[in-house]
Amino acid sequence: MTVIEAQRLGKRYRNIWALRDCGLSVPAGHVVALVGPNGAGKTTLLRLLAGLAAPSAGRLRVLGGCQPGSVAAREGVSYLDQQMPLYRNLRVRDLLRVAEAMNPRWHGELAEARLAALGIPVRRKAGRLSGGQQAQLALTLAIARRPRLLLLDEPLASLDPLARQDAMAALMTSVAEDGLSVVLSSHVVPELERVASYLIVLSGGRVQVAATVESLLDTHRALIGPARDAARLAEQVPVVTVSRAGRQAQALARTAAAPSGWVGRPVTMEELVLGYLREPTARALPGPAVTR
Amino acid sequence: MPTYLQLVHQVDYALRLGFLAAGDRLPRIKDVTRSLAVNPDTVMKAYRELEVRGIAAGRPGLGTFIVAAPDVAGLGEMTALQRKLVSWLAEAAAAGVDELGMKALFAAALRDFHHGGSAGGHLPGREVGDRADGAA
Amino acid sequence: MTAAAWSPGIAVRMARVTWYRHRGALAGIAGLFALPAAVVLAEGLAMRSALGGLSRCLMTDAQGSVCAGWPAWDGFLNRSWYVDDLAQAMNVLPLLAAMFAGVPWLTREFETGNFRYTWVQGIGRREWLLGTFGPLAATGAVAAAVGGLVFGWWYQIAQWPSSAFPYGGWSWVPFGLVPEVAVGWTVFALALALPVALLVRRTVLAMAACAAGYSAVFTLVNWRLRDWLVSLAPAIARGHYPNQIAPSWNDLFLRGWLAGPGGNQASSRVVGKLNGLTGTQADRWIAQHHYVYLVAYQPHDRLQLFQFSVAAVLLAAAAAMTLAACWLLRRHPAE
Repeated sequence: MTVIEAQRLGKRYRNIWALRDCGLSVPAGHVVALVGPNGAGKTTLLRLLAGLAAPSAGRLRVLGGCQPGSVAAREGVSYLDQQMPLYRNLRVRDLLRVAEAMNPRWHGELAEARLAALGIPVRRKAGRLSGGQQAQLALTLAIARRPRLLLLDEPLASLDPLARQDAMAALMTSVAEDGLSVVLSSHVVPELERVASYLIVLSGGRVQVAATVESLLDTHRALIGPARDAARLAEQVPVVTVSRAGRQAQALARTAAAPSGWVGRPVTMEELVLGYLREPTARALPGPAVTR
Repeated sequence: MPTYLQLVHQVDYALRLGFLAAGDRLPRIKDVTRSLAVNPDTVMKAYRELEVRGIAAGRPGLGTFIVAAPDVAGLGEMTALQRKLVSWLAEAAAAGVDELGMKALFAAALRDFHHGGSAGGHLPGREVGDRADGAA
Repeated sequence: MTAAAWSPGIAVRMARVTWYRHRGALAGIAGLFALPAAVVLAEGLAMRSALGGLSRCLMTDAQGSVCAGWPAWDGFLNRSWYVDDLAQAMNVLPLLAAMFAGVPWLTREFETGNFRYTWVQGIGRREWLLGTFGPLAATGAVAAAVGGLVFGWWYQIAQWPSSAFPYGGWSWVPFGLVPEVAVGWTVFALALALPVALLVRRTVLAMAACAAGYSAVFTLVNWRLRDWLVSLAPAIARGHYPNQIAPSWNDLFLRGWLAGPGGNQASSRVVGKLNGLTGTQADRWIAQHHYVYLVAYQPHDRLQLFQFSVAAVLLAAAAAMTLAACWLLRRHPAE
């Protein structure tokens, strides 16, 4: 199933295009990292996927053909934004009851078991839990309704490293157990390699990179060579970025083998993402999508 | 170093230090995911790498088990075997087989070896003792 | 794959959640109407017992003139009842319900972003709106209807000692309190709270804005709309010059005029001349010159029609407020 499919997707606010001409075809079961500078359109894309806004141009489908925002889509999609929404004046067990009333497919035992395992007291008001516990609670409430797509707009940004690790662990467990697809908007580039299996880089409202992490790491190399050859490198292989330091040049190129005169090594996700972010015109997009 | 390789090396060291032995079951993918907050695909990739290296083998429904510790054979034997392998690789390359083809050949031969015993020449899927004409 | 935009089932689920989360506020609305209703009930019972058998007489005798001759009548009128103040105060109840029960919980939803929690659970904006406003409006409507019914029962007797509404239900005070109109005001006030809370996120400011909006509409309806409505298609009858009263005590008098033989209104000269004459002299002059004094009025049996018309206008205004809230929800980029 293609969990996200977009063709020439665009979104305009007044006269500004927040997203333009975006094409995506993301298979289900991935943890998608959504990366890009502020204002690149990450939140806009997430809101379009959640059905909170309608596209101004193009076409967007989720969960294998559902229109975002329709009843069928909303049943399978959960959207958690930065503020980690909760009814903070309710006790945890009342929140569970409310969530059960809101969802026909609620898995109460799963939620309760998870909260117990995390040591979150059930009788306390949600607003009085620590930041990390609130994040875990919000995640649990989202995951226990068994969505097929979870959209996270940097909800873990305000957590300390330990709390973030715990929240990620809970998320990854769900991915492993239920085959949940996740779109995670994130600034924390170093963690992407451990956590993500698909990468989307947005820049200036356009999709710069949209591919699986595995294919990206296979098709890119970090190259080191003499600075005098740096200018010619672009003629030999597709180059993403190239930088000079004294007599040595380093480059990120889309190639499986280093050209002659250069030494190549596998590239890390961090280097890949930063390289593309530095070069907004570079692209790593899949070939033409299979038409149905 | 990519995360999956880190996991592979962890298993490697555990074997060398004696914390893991042949026949032990590696932790389930979702347990590793939970304790390390790592994408399950990454764990799967690590386990696959262990299988490719011959250290582990997956049994459907049961899990992934340690098959053999690295360096089970003596150092001298290993060097000789490696030299033989390199000359085979040179032969294959000369015949025009690419890296993917070499891997496929090796995987097929390994499968054959598991199924057919030392005589070789058995097609995968047949058990030892089957008569060629198919009679029971 | 169905592209349905919203589902009634989900709205109902949201309504159940609203009942649960805001049962305090909803009970407050009920109490807001129940308390004055209890006072009104008590006073009504006291009035009926003070009148004794007179109360039955009053209900059959439309004029009250026959019954007024009984000695118990004076004792009844001379007691001090809270009638005028009570009825006027009760007109404020819909606004109070909206201001203190409706607005705070809505502004808090938007201020704290609690509202966004519904997205986590896959509940869309329209379902949120219906599921939040539904219980609110239903509670308000039931409370207002019960309050209105109690008021009507009390008013049957209370209209006599009151100086504020001598016209059998036409004046704005009792008009606004009959069940259908009370429901109309209450549902409108609660519906008004929705776009106000959406636009003005701060609770106290929103309450003030709600009060201002409600007051403006209240003035418009009671002193423009009603006046215009009752001036439509009046009944015409002969009257007794120069009495400005309608044929029956509980009809609504609109205007009286002297019509000449040709059908046109008498000139000011004629009126001036009649002013100098005594009553019987004026009657004779009018009869001799073939003038006739006509009164335009609304008969009492039409009162309920007007009450329902005003209630319908209020419910339409409430619907407009709900649609405005819907539109505002969609336009606001952060929501």
